[in-house]
Amino acid sequence: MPRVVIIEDNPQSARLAEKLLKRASYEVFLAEDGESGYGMVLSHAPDIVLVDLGLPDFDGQTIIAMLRQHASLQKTPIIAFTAWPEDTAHDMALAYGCDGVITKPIDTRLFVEQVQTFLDASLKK
Amino acid sequence: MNTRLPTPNSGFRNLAIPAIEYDFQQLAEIYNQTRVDYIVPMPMNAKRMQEYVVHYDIDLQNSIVATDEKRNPLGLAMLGVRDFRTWITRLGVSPDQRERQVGSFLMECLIENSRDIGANIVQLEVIVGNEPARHMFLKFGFRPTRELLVIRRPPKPLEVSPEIELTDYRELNEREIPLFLQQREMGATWVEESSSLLNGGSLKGIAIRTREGYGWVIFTATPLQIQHVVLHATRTPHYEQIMVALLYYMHSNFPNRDTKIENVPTMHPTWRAYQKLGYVISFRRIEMMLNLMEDDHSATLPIHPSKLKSIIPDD
Repeated sequence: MPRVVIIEDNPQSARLAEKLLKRASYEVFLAEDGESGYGMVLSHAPDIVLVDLGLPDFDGQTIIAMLRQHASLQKTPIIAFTAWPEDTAHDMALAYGCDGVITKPIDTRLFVEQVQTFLDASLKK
Repeated sequence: MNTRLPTPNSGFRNLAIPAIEYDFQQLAEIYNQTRVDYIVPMPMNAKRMQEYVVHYDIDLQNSIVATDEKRNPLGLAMLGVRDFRTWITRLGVSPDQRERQVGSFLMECLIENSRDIGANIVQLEVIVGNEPARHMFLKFGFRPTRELLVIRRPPKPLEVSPEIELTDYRELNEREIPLFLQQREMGATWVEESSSLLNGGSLKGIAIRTREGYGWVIFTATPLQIQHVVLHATRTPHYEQIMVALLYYMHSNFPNRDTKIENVPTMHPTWRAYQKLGYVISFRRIEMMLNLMEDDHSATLPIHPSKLKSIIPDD
């Protein structure tokens, strides 16, 4: 069962993502801010991490930068999960070493497939 | 206490509650609710809201929470006050209350409060792409002054080296930093003004001297982040090289930090230096100003401030 940490302060988006992924047999851990999300990633060693770029304490870019400095997370896909305009989100994701972007609002038909695609790509590395 | 109720013929029955009546947790929650669907939401928690108020001289007595008659929050707008200037910030309306003139109501209140405290200039920034807000500010008489960049650099190895040789390098001490900041060029935006930096603290500084000129950089450094970078260099043909050298030594001395710099004017020569160090654009803002000394801009307001009736609460 793949493990996913979602760091997202918007409860509607977080719960929808959780529901969709649990239905597809993922184990999901939710964090509503950067500090708890950072701790959750380090303690649960997830297979993939989704990070909102706008968080209420440390913003998403800071969390991504912190996570990327851990050797144990070098191969873990970190995905920017954002409502930012797509071009800006891609520039930010690329600069911060993300493996991809999933834009909000969530497309319920595609979301699980998007997550699985990033997971599959990381396994091939 | 400046709780206000517009006259009934304005068509609204909103209350304007001074933000000082709320605690920081409540203000953060109201603010976040107004931003859930924004292009760049930038949510806050209570700690960040408190820091924001202190760092940017937010006057909570003159900042406003718009509510309905039952005091349910509809929107928020905050007012920074420095000398004869005010700064409108954190303006937002809950998504389910949009297109009901709550934003205009908040703007009227803050412009009137600015007049009441004797301000000459009201300034603000709007994110590029937020057309409803930009149009509203134009309607109130604000005029765009320049485009600003919010830029970032993730922690990563330096890929450039200084192209000039140093003849002197030293770190500035606590007493020197305010003195050096007095020498900086004019035109910083509110969040980057020296007052903001000194209010925030955690300032570091580096000064360098080369055969081609001298320069210094002052910045906020926390264990995770570098912010509020002020660059200063002698205006010579080597200006950009000195800037690059200053950034190089800043990142060398404070490595493994995410760097966020707000409000670099698009046309400013420092932007080229930042690009050489690997900074990328996060988003863009437009700075706008309203000159309260010029004309009677209140004539353009949908509701004239004189028609806003002040109510003194029972307590």
